Amino acid sequence: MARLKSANTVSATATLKLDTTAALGYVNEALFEATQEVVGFDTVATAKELCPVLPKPTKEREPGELRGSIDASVKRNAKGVRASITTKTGYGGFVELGTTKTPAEPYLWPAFEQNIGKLVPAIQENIANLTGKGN
Amino acid sequence: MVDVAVLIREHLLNQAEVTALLGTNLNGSIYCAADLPEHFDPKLGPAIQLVRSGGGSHDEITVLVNARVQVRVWADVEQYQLASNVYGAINDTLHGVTMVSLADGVILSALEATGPQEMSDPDTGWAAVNSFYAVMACPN
Repeated sequence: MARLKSANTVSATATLKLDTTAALGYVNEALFEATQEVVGFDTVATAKELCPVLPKPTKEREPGELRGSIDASVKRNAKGVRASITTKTGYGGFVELGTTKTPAEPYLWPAFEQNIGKLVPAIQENIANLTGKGN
Repeated sequence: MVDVAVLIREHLLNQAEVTALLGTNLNGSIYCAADLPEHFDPKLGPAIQLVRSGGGSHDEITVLVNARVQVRVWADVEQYQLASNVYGAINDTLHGVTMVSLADGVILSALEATGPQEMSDPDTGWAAVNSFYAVMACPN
């Protein structure tokens, strides 16, 4: 009796583990795809719309230089997915946060704020598509 | 409608831990504006700048304001430690507070949304520490 009970328990645990692993795989994949969609595309597009552009070239800068340098990176890591939006001009942070001479003109955070609400629906949609329940 | 930056200023002016670290610039060295006062001098001590930067009104309870506020500490050139100390004092007295009743309204809650970011001002070289707070407030 005791052996039988033990075998059943092991068998049940193994089956559950397999299902959980598969489900986690779907969730991770859906999370990655949704983050790429919402942060990698939508948020970057909004940030580019909001980003201030110089009216005319100066000695150091070209109009649209900052806007053109806005980019996102979405990576998988041990904890899930990590996304970041960056600029490469070297002064993007001063524009976002302001300096003693120029007021802040935030364009990254408002873009994030406008788009982050789309993330959960996008994850749900991706899970449905991956598990074949989206049709 | 309540001005959340004004409420935070009132709250910080009541906190001895914060005001003890600030300098002798005008108006208690705490400013609710996108730029610093014309004659501000960090040699007289550090200062705090509060700027509203986003947020929105509540959908149903229209008197509630959910605001994001940039809290920036300014200190003189190379005075990063001093700026950091002021940032810490602000964090100790603001992060997590609830139901703070003030002359111009009530801070229902304040939470630090983005932690400290240090920077040097590109024009003056002054040290600064930036942080952002998510604040919910309502009128009295």
